[in-house]
Amino acid sequence: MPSRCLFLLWLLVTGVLRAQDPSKQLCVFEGTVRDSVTRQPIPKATLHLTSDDNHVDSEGVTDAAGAFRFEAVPPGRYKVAVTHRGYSDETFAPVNLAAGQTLSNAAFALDAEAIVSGRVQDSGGDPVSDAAVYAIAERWQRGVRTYEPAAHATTDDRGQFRLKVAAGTYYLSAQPLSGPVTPNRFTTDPGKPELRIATAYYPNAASLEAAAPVRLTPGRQLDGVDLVLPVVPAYHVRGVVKPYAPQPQAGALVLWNRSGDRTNHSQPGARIAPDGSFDIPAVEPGSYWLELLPFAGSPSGRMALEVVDRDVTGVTLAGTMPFDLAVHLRFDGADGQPLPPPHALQLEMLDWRLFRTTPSATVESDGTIVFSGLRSGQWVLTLAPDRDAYIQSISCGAHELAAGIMDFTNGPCGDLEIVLAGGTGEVQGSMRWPDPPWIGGPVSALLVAASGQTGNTGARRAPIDENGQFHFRFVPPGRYLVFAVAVASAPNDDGVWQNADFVKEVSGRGVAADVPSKGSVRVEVGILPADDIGHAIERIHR
Amino acid sequence: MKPALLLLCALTAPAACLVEGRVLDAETGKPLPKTQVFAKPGPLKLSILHLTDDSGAFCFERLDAGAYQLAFHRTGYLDSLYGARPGADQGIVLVVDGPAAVPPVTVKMLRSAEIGGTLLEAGGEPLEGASLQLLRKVWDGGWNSDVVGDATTDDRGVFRFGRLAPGNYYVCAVPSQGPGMTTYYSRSFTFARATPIAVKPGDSIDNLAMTLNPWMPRHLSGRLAEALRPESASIILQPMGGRTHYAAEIPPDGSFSVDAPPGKYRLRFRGVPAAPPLEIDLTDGDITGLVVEPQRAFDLAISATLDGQPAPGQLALMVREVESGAVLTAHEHLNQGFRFPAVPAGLYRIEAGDQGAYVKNLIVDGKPRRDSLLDLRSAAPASIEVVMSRDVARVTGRLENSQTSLAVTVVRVDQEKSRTEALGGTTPADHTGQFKMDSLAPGRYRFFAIEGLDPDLWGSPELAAALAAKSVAVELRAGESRQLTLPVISAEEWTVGLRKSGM
Repeated sequence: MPSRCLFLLWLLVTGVLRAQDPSKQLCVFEGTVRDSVTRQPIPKATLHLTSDDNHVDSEGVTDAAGAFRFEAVPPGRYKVAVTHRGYSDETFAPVNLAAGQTLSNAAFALDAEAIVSGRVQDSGGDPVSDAAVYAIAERWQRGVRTYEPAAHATTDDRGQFRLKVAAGTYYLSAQPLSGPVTPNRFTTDPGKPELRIATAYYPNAASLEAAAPVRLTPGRQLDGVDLVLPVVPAYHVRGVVKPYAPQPQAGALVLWNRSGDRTNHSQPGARIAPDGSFDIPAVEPGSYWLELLPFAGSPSGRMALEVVDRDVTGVTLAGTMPFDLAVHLRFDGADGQPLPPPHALQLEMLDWRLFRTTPSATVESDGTIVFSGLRSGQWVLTLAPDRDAYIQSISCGAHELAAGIMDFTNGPCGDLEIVLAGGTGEVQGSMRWPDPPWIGGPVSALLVAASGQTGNTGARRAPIDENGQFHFRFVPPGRYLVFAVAVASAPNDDGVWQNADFVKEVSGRGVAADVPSKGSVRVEVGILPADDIGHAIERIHR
Repeated sequence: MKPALLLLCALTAPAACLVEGRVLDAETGKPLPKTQVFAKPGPLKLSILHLTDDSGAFCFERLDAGAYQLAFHRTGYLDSLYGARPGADQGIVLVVDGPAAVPPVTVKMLRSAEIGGTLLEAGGEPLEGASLQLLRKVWDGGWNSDVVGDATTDDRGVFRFGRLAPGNYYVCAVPSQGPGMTTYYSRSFTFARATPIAVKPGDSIDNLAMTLNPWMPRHLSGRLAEALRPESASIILQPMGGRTHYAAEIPPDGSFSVDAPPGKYRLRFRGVPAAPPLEIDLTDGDITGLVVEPQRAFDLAISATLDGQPAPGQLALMVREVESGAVLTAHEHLNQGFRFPAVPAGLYRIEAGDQGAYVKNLIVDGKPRRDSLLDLRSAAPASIEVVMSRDVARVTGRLENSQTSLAVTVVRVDQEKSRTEALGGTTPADHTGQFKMDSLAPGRYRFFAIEGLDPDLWGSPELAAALAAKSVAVELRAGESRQLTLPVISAEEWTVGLRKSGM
């Protein structure tokens, strides 16, 4: 959970209604933009006012006192994107302008970006130039922890770097790149072990697991981040992809760190020979996924690999050619409901890395839905919660799939049989606004299966209206937990709500709801602060 | 660098070295210990890393047979490749063949320099995210600017260019947003008036204070002559030595008006093919009332034969404007001859565009022109015939001294190609000091062998004249094979020549 939620930007909009010329019904929108920490006004900040309701697309700039004013704005529901160099971009929504309204004293606060500076050197104390330095953020993807680069910088000839990144909690790493003159892998004599300059994580750990994250509050300047890149023995990974049919270009193999760190992988260029053989040099000891990257029409595949203290040879990676998946939908029992249209079904890759694939669906004359162009990996199928139907079970080749996860790592398993059920229920809820007033940004209601299971029972959000009311419809019967939480800043942050350990950690802070078939349950919830979410994530830490 | 590696080297140092040498500071001549020395056996093969000892010496006693480049890395110095000038990626290749040792090499490393400073906007605030370019002078039809580095100001307006070889540099700031104009250090609008920053080895210039020039454009206005007025057209000002273009639409009455920062520009008209390319100077003031007249131009059709046969389709022919050296190229078109549309009035030389053929004779209106010159100053001739031949000359040769510390490049100047530039071709001398050039048209040439040549700086006739005393002039006949022995112009003599020629 990025801790930027811990230092939430806040939005306090107090509307002051004044009489306006009713014939025009136009509105005035004014306020200030300030630094979230120093409270100093931010001059020359850009505000971008847009609306889905009408075609307003208006831009304004704050003056020396950080003040802005939009005049003659048609009434409507607006989004305000506020940007300024040195601050994280932020969008505030909704801003509602009633006909003729003058909305004054809107106070927007921006988080200053944090700055990390330091030096990268080798084990002899010499600066390492052209090293890639990453700020790595923890992210969640359907309950699975990943580490994504949030910002990066390159060291100069003194080994120095200066990295600007949005406030949050990050791991910092440095990895060497090959210079034009000096290679980053070498040996001391022909036939001696291959050596390479390896990646280091702050504070000088060899792996992300052993590293300590740094917490960067808005505007924080963290200097003296020094990283020493060790020289380690490096090994080759040799083997063959089977079957292998390169078309039209040769495939590429990548080694990913199994920690989920997406910055640390073997340098691209591990090409596959036309006969399927490969030789990846300069691999540091570690636990990897060996992945065959899918280009259009060519095979994909993945396998776990350990590199310990010698070359790994004789590896056989099973290549899976792109395949189609036939899906047969039916309702349980004699339920005569119409089947949902194919676009209500979403097939999603669970563990994509570089390339996200969204297969397209077609319907055959017998009603079979065919998704085409799938590749090796783990997949989930979800049904949009917009009708009285839910997925009761998924089986493939007579095997029922646990939690609806389809493992196609070694290719397809056959046709999918999906049994739907009707009789969904509802959750009606209300939220108690806290006292003192909440300044933590927009809040929405969150519904998650009490088991915290990933798969086809994802976490759902619903908006909370001005009166604190919310409503989930078409909920499969079962036991749930309901929360009110700040709207996530990063698109995949809701992924943590599909982690069973996390849900267990926060379960005491939510309200349990047993959703009956064809019935409704009422809940009343309080806000779960972002800090508490962050602490819960820390407790389930690895 | 790595104590473990150092130990390894010390333990295994035997008597016989296949490749050995010393690494010295280029200025002081002092040995440079603990310098990383990579023997690089070519792409995809593993480099061998050794460190120099206290006397700056290194020794590779075990190397597989093959060709190696030696690369050197030491903190505070420019990375260098044996035999390459700083920044170049082609050095002298060492060939290891069996147990015979390669003669010892001496490598002189230059301390790296840096230029840095702070960029302020016109109002005095530090400017974040602005682009800066590091420039140097190169020969590009004249002494012009070339970008050799890019930098972006950080949140404090601070910029820095590191890893600099000694030389003269220029810094140019380009505002990315907001008001302000491209500014050359210190406050010039143009490269021509920029202040050079002289950098010596190890210099650390970190206090350059630059303020962006405010937006104060010059103004150009005028009209297209009656004969040029098109339906839709635009005027484009292309700065000489800059990147940002300034353009304006031209209304049907042919009038134009455009603002641009002070400076020299090439003026082009889009949608007006008969408009001539013009150069204008807005450095010191506005230009108003410019009237653009149509350019006199001729469509040429040239018939050609090659050794008595019709010229084959893939053959190319060029017309070269004698004063400027500007070239137009055409290919043979469906047995219809070579077509050059809209060739501006001027004096031209006709050349074969392909290696392996040359223009032997030019017959204009039935009369042979022995100088191959085509006079288009007042009118175009009715018929132009070109007789080409494959009976080219070739030159092979060697250097008087192949024991140089930098790689040597042989430069050929074709004396008849241009009056304003030293044009020709280059070829590297190999590690034994041999070189060859094939496919030369008969004619007068001058050959130079230059240690550490930077090809981007070659082309000035003054430079060629300054180095002429150590060059060899030859006149080659058709089909001739000539042996040459060339004296080597040392890196120092090359530097002196550059200084004399206005670089």
